[in-house]
Amino acid sequence: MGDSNRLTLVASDGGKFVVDKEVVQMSVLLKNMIEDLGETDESIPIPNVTSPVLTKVIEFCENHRTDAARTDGPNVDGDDARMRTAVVSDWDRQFFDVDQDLMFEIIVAANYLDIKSLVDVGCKVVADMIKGKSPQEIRDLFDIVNDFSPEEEAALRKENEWANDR
Amino acid sequence: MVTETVAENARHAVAVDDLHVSMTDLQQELRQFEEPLNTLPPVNSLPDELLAEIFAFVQAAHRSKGERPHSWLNVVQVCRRWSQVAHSTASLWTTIEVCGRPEWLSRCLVLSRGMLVDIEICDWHDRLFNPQILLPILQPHHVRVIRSLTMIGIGWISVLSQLLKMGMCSLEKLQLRYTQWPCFFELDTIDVRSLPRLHTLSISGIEAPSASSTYKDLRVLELRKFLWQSVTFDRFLNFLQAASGLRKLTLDDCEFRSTASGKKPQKRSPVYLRKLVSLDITTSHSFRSSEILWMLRAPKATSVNIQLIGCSPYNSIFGLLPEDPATCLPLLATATVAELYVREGTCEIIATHGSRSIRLALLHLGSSLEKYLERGMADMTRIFSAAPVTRIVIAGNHHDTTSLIDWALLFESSPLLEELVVAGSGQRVEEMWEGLGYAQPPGGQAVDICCPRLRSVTITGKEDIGAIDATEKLFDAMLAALTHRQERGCKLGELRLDLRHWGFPYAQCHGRYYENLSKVVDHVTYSDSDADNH
Repeated sequence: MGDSNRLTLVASDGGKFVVDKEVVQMSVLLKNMIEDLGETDESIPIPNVTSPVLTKVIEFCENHRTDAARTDGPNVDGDDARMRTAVVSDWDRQFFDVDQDLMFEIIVAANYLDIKSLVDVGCKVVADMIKGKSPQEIRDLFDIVNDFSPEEEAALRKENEWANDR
Repeated sequence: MVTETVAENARHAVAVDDLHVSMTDLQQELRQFEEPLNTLPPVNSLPDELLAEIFAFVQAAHRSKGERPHSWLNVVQVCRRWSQVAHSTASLWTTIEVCGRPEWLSRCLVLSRGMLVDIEICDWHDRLFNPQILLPILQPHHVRVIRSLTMIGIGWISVLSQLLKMGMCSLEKLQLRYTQWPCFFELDTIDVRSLPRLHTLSISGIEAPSASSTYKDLRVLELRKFLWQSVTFDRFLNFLQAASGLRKLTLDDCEFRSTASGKKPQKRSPVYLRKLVSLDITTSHSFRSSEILWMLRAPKATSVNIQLIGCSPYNSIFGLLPEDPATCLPLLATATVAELYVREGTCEIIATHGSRSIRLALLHLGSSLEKYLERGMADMTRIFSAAPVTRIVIAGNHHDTTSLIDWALLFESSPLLEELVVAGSGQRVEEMWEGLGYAQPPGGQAVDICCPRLRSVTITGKEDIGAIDATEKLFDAMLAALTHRQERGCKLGELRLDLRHWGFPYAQCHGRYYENLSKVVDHVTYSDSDADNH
């Protein structure tokens, strides 16, 4: 009989990770699976997530395992805007200091596993990269090709030109 | 000759047309290659909903910094996919700031696809903008989806009246800011029957409506910068009495029709705001703060901020509260933790019981900074005189001073004290030790000492207030007080010291005092603020 407080996750490439249940439960998807399975020694396959990505996801969850307990209740003005303008901590920023492939794979994995705090931090980090940049600077940053026709581009520019003139 | 030239021109024209057609074909062909290319960048591995979420963060980042609120629109010009995702995400178009650009309002109302919208109409940046031109755009079906409406400037009063007549049945939040001074207008009664969801009303620079019905269903009320000619303070209290669900009340430089100034209304019964969490008062008349605190009963309040501008003489927090502060704020009578922070003209007292706490802050502008800590301690002594306080934190500006009497009074009124933290209270911490050593409980015998349950004392610097200097006088006072307490059976369990060693080297004070302190305290922890210096 294994340790009932820990379980094994299996990544898409077969990598195995033994993790505290408390940590894993930051994922709504896994939390629901654990509740459905009850006490079991079976490992849980994570078919959409590779080992390097799962390693990072677990690292994040372990670092943030006590966050839920620290979260304040609703306040008078409470809404999503407050969350969206929250400052990303140094640890979180360093956590996402990886190549773009891995960064976006982590965000996609967090979305699949339903780990809201990781999705939010990831989106905020990407938003900070975009903020204040021109369309061409954004394209250069992410290797995106300008696929608008000249007419479309001109129309879009005209439609939004006043956005910068305030 | 002419015929040849005409024919040649016609041939050239045909050739140019052919080239245009070829160019268009080539561009289309190129786009067919380019579009799939955009599936390769890692960022485009994100599903649409995550990309939209990122755009929402970009939007929020621009808005929170108050810089070019529409700059986020750069994302729609990056590539076709980003444009399509942005345009098809209705929630990105629900916060609409209209500053002289009615076409923006029109566009956002279409793209938000019937979702509830938050509209800010502002003529601050474009003085030629007449909000009237928005009315043809705002059809009744648009007005019905407005969740929050903010109007800033001087030309919106008639627009508001017409919008109200159209029935803003989803409106939750109404913020009105009149920016021209003096203002000779008074808002009409806001008919709450046409605003069944309204819970937040914020009015600045213009007289608020004078009908009680406007306020009765509010959760948040903010009144700023106007003289309420038609309403006395007593009548305002009636409005509050009716607003039983109020959670946040802000009165910022808001005055009422004159009554007997300076006198606290004694004849009426207090107003019970059983759900009030936060109270903010900014005034140049300290009697007004006092009147409000005397007349309100807020059992669930967790934040009370009072800002006095240019008031003289100095008003203490205790001086503004009713004679028995717990009648207004019951938590003050049951607090087990009392904290005092004094810095830069601000005196802040925090009372905590279990998971609940209340913060009382007094910002006193235009007055000398001297003796704030002393006055704050006197406030604390009186406010918590009946509370079962077991932990006290005192943090004060290092230029401030306190006397033996201040400390003695504090300790004598805290018989259950178990833990004391003193941070950055300047050059006179030795007075604290004298108080702790020799103050006696009220009515006690000569052999009795104050705070018999005291087990832990921490003396430390504080980043924003300053460090406490190690001096021989301080160590002498500390040792004498702790020896005195030990001899009377009240040996301290833990002493934590974090001092700054200017002019009294660490090694010297450690050698001379540390061993002696260890004899009269179970456990001594010593760190120093300038550890790098030795």
